[in-house]
Amino acid sequence: MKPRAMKSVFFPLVAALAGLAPLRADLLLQPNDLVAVTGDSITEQKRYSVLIEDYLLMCQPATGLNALQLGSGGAGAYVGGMRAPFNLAPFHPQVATMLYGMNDGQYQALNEPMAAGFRKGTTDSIEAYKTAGVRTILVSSPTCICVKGQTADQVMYNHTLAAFGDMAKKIAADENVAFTDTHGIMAAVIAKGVAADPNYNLGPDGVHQEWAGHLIMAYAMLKGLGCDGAIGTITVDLAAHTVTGTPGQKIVSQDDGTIQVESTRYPFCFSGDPKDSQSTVNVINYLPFNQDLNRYMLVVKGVTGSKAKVTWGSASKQFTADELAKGVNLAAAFAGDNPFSAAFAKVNDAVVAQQTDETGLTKYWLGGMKDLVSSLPSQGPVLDQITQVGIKERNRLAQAAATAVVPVDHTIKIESEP
Amino acid sequence: MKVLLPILAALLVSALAPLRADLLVQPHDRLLVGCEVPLDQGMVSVDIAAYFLMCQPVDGLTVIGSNVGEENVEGFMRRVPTEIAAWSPTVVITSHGIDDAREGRDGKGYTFYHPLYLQQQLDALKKLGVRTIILGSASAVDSSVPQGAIPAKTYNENLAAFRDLDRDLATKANVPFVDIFGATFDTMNKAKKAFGDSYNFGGDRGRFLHRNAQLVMAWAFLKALGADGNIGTITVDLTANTATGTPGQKIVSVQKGTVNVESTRYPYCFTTSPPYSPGVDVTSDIITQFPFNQDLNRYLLVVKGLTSPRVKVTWGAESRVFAAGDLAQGVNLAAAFAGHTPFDQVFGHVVDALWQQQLKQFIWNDSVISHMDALKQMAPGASFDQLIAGIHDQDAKNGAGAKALMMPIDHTIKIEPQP
Repeated sequence: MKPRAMKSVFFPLVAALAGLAPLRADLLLQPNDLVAVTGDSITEQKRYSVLIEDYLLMCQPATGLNALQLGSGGAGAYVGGMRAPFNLAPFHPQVATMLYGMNDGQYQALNEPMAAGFRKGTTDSIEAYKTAGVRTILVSSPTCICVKGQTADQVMYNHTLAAFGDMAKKIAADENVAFTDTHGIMAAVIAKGVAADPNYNLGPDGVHQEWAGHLIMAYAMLKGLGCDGAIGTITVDLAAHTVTGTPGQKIVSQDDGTIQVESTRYPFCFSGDPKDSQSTVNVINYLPFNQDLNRYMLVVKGVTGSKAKVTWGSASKQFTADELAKGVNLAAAFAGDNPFSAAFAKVNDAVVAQQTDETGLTKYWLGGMKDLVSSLPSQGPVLDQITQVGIKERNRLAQAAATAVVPVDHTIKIESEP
Repeated sequence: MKVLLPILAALLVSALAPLRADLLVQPHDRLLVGCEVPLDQGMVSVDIAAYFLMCQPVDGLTVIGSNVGEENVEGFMRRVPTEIAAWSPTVVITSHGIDDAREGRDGKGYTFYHPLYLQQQLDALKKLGVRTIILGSASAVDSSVPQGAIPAKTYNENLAAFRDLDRDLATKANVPFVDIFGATFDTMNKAKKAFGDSYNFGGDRGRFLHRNAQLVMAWAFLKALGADGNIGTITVDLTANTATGTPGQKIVSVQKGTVNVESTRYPYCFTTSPPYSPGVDVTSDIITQFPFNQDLNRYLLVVKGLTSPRVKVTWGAESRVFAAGDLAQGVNLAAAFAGHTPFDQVFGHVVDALWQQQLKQFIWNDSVISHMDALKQMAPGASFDQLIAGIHDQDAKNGAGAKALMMPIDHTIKIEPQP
């Protein structure tokens, strides 16, 4: 019986055990958690939220994880809390991330009324999420503006956003919730990118970034949630003719350095043009995503030569025997095209479909529910009926995304070279 | 049947007696106002609703506010088949172009997109079965508020050119045209001359017309719709100790120059401070700069048999002194007592209720109607038809609630000869 099939049989037991025994003390996610990704139009872009859900479903820092996108264009920090009883609470998420600030600053230099508004909005939203029963809250600093040829106004606004980040950090500490510094992480990536290429940018808009910028946001959130990046390890002993795989990496066969693996836990896959600064495969040059969150390791002992050629899928790379003995990260070495890429893309498509649906449900419908309830006092049952159908449809799409994670069969061929 | 009889009777009366042949709104019309003003300050549609409810009542009229700030012609045109259609309007008023005019006469907005989308808008409204379309040009922008890289003067020159474009298109399409630009531009200039250049007309950003400026828009549209301004006349003969009132102005008693009146038709009332709709300006100042009262708000007092050259008229808590000759010809109480009439309080309550009604229309548009395709996809098979029916039902209740506030007003006019 494959682990995937066992999941449904043993789900209650796993869930019960999970409640008693968290996977790791520093991982803020528990099995079967639903992560509500809340924010403004940057979140509504459905990019970093999709990448987070991709990671939760396929890289599986814990089992049975799922995400819910709650982005709303134009929203300031207070909006998350204001709408939480209507668009967050009905889903009973255990975890919520918060990425606000871009609208709170009104694209101006920092001033005290603005700062006070951000502080109050952030604090109120945290409290509202707690009231809604959210167990783990991760507050983020805002993103940066990054365009080619940054104007003085944009530089000024990044200072405002950085100041919001400092406030968010303090509020998180005061409220005893988690914090992640997306702003600082993104600023560091931009600095490295600009050092390599003065025209480096994360998209023409600056605020609403392309996929590379969103991978930075996803990285910051996943790190903030305590994900450790240990996706899997396949250990090969060429001398002893043995191969072992960590959970999720089932060794189907091995024959003289050729290993067949069936994987139910995927490494994170990147896409796009490696030369395009707005692609995910490019930004990992400046972002330690693979090191910190995406270690899909091949450890080879008993290499007879000084190096070995490793063929994974249709691509080959050469490593030294020493590197292989210590372990090489296949996810990094074969970034952009590996045996998981196609399956990863299919799941990603299903996640996009789910989160696109969620915008209709959580922004337009549930986001306006407070006003709808008060303005249509005789339509309560109709509103409830539509909400229930909407949640059912959302859950169907979420299930479709989860079941799109199918076992991937792949082959690793190791050939010693002189 | 018991329930239906009054409705049938009302429909019969309405059908037999339209208000006037030249009035473009008819009983039970659904009048949709789509102007380029912020939704939460969309008083132009509230003003029109208030006028046709209290000043020149049109039986069973529903006014739908569908205003969106910074919406261009394309934006409105794209809303016609969905959001606009959902309200089943029979009359539609529009005013767009401020956003389109930003690039001026050299931009593609002028040479291509604005006329193209405006024609498509008219075609879409006709296809929808809208009986009467009133095409208004965009308003002017505030000449004192900078418009970024474009000087306000240039912006208004661009808007004048777009106005001409709209007029030509309306003529070709055989739909009534309203020069909203000319009305707002001329009134703004007069107001700034009278009150100073800092007198605000276009809001903080200069192109979101304030409450005062939206009354100018409403005036222009109401005139285009055929409103005649004959609200009522009270004629007092001091010699004969008699008084008469036109329909809606019932004389309860008359005694030595003191006339008690019960009015079911109100003059339009102005605000000296904003009791409703947050963040907007007052209207009692702007009406001195354009002929709203002359054109649309003639609530006349005619006094015969005067023996003194000057006469003090007390109406409610306020008094004014008029020349006997003026009173003999008739003075407009709505203008003379603007902001201080016995109708003000109730008028304000009704306006507030109408504003609330349109605010809820906005909520339903924003949360449901404008996203119907996405919502139907979000909740396949759910009862959206029932919800839309419920929205119309609630809107009718809200309209009836506003109308119910419009109680007969008892007021006293005291006429005293002065030495």
